[in-house]
Amino acid sequence: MVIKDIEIAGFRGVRGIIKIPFGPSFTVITGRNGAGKSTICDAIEYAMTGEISRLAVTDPEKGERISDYIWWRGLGEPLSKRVAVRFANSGEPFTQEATPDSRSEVDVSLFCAPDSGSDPIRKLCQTSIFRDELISRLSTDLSESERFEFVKRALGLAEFADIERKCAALEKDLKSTYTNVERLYTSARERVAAYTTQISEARTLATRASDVQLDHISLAVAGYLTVVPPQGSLSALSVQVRRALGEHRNRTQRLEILSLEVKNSQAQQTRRADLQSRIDDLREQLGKAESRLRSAETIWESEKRGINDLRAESPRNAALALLAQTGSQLGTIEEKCPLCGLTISEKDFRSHLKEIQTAVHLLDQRIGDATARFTSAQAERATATSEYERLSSEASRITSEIQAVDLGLVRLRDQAALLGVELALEKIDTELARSRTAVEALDGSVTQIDSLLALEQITDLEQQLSLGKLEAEKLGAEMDRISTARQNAKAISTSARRVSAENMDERLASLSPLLTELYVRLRPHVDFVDVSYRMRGDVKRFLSLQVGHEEALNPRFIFSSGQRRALGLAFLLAVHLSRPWCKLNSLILDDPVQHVDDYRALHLVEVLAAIRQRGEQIICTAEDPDLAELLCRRLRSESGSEGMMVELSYVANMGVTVSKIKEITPFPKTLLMSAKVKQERLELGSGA
Amino acid sequence: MQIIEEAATILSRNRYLVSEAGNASLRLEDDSLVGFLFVKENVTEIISGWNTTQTAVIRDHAAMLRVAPLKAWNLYLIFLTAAAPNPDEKRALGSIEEDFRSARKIAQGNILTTSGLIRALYPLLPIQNATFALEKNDARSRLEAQLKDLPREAVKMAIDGSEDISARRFLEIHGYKGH
Repeated sequence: MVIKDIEIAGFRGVRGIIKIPFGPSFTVITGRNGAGKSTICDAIEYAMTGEISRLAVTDPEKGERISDYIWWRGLGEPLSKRVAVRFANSGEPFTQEATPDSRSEVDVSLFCAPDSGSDPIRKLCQTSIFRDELISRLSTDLSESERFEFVKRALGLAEFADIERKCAALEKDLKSTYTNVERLYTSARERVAAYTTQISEARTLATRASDVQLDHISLAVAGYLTVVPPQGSLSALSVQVRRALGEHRNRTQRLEILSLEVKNSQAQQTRRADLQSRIDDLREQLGKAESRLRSAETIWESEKRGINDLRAESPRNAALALLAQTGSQLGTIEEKCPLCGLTISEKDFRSHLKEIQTAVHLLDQRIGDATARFTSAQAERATATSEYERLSSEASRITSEIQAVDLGLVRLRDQAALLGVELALEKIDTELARSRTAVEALDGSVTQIDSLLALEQITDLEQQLSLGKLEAEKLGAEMDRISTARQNAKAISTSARRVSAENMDERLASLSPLLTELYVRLRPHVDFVDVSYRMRGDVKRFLSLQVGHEEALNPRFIFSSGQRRALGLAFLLAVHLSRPWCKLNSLILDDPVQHVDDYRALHLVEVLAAIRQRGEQIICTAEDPDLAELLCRRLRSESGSEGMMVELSYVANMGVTVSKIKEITPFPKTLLMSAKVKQERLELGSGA
Repeated sequence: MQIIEEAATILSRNRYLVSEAGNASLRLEDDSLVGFLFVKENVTEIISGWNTTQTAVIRDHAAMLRVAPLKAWNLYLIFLTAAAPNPDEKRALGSIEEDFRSARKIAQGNILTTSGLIRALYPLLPIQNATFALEKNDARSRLEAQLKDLPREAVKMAIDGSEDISARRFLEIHGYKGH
């Protein structure tokens, strides 16, 4: 299959509509810079992949993307926007078309063999369309691991990588499934263990049920049940008996506590009587103490008043004492009192002084007596008060104690009322004994009921155990199957990796002579006349190109840019010619000889001619008109398979236009040989 | 190795019309080019005589070349010798090849083997080593053979297409019933 023609409208630099027919053998597209040569290659790639790889940028500039520049952005509106590439193969030609809104789906089977791996159309474009700016980037300038991956994909070996990827994803899923099933298995085994334990316990219980009858149990517990269960129902009887047992255990416990408390309360009652007797005495003593206190207070009040009165006389008495003392010292003066001037005899004066002194002495004596009495009354009052307070406190304490005893009794009465018994020890104990009997009877019945229930459960449990074992066995078998599946997935992945590596080695070994041939033909370097490759790495693999027999040098670092480009072309053309999966028989080169001297440009033209001789369609753009002419001359144009030369130019406001389309007429087939035959005929004629 | 005979064989095999032109030389022609191949005794003969030979060829075939001037542009003159060139001679041979005047020249020494001869004639020949590189890839059948003991359908799932493998289906192939 080759490319038959292309129609471009409103795409990149094309504003109008251009249609370019491609020669089945070759087409040389020429034109100045910006004439639209690369646009032709862009259009072919865009129609196939919806992308223009040479313009791909990782980071959008100012938020703009290449997709904003796919279609015409110049002045004026284009007539339409469309790219249509027509392909010719053995059947009917078909068109691959793209517009801003849609792109016809690529029928991969038309372009690629079934085992061409993933993303085959992008891979096909990458190995069929060689751009000037990508030649070095996709060959010599690739890192070793990128180069390995590029060659691996291009040679159609990447599908094994797909197998590894698929198996890795599968392994992850299988592991997850295994974990889930393992969890279910563990759970099933735990259930089996639990059933086994339950059966063992049930069997032990069941041995006790050999001569137990349901009717007997019903009869035995009938008096203790508040709700009568349906006759013959073991489970209902079990519920009611357990409920009654609980109630009676609770009642027994409460009766036991009540009995104990009532016993304790009897001692309290005795103490209460003592306390009552004591409080009665205390009340009598308290009455007396109160009387004594009142009497003491009355005396104390009276003495207090007396002493206060006497103390009021005290200053006058002191003054009289001083007057008497002074008068005594002075005596009368000229028969007159020295104190008041009254005429008085000495004798009378002395008598009067004596009377005064006696009165002063008597008053002092009365004050002393009164003070002694007051002190005594005060002491009595304090003693009476203290005694009264002591007795009052004692009475209060005992009263509280009596009240506490009385409250305890009330509480016991309430409890007894709640339990429905009289608050009497013998009555309580009788009721307690009855309750204990009920507990005993019910407890025994529970054991019997459990035995009967166990008998019933054993069959169910055995069935459950059997099912559980079956489930665990089934899950165990599933786990084995998943393990086998995991092992097989791993085996497939491992084998794929091994075969992929072996295949890659072999394919590269077969590619090597071709790479060497193309390198020798393109002759990038005078001294380094051969190129070879080296592959290394197990998990991550690396492919390096090297020149020089002994030194094994990396051409990336010793070749000029032109030499790298020539080596890059040798590498890319070798890859292009080694694609067994590819059905498109076209090689598209976008200005491949930039930065290449004339001598090496000639070598490239000869290489293209050599590729052309294999029947491949060559589409090549060239800016240099001489080079374009050389290409047209050197590439093989045959009758019925003529080559084509297309000249493009850029017209202001119109964009890219086709200036000229020229069909390259085949040369005479036997120019030299026919001349030789003529010469020989001439020689024969002259000889005759 | 007789260079003349071997060259005639190689060129004929690659769809060239070839005839002897006397004096250890060949005429050759295909759809796009014409040429003359000369075998010389030593490198000096090539270095000293190539220009004279070129002039003579153009003079002798001028009438013919005028019939198809465009094809005449694709005139190849090939000078070969079994003798090995020394470094100076090698540079001189290189200069001959880089001289584009009148005809494309190929000047090579040390032609001792058929592969060396083919290498010298590369500019005239189609790609020689592409066939083996395009041989059918048997990796898939090799992989299938390695996995022959595994369930056939499981292997097919893993190596066919690019869609992810259904873990469920893969397990079913291994007898898994699911839970």
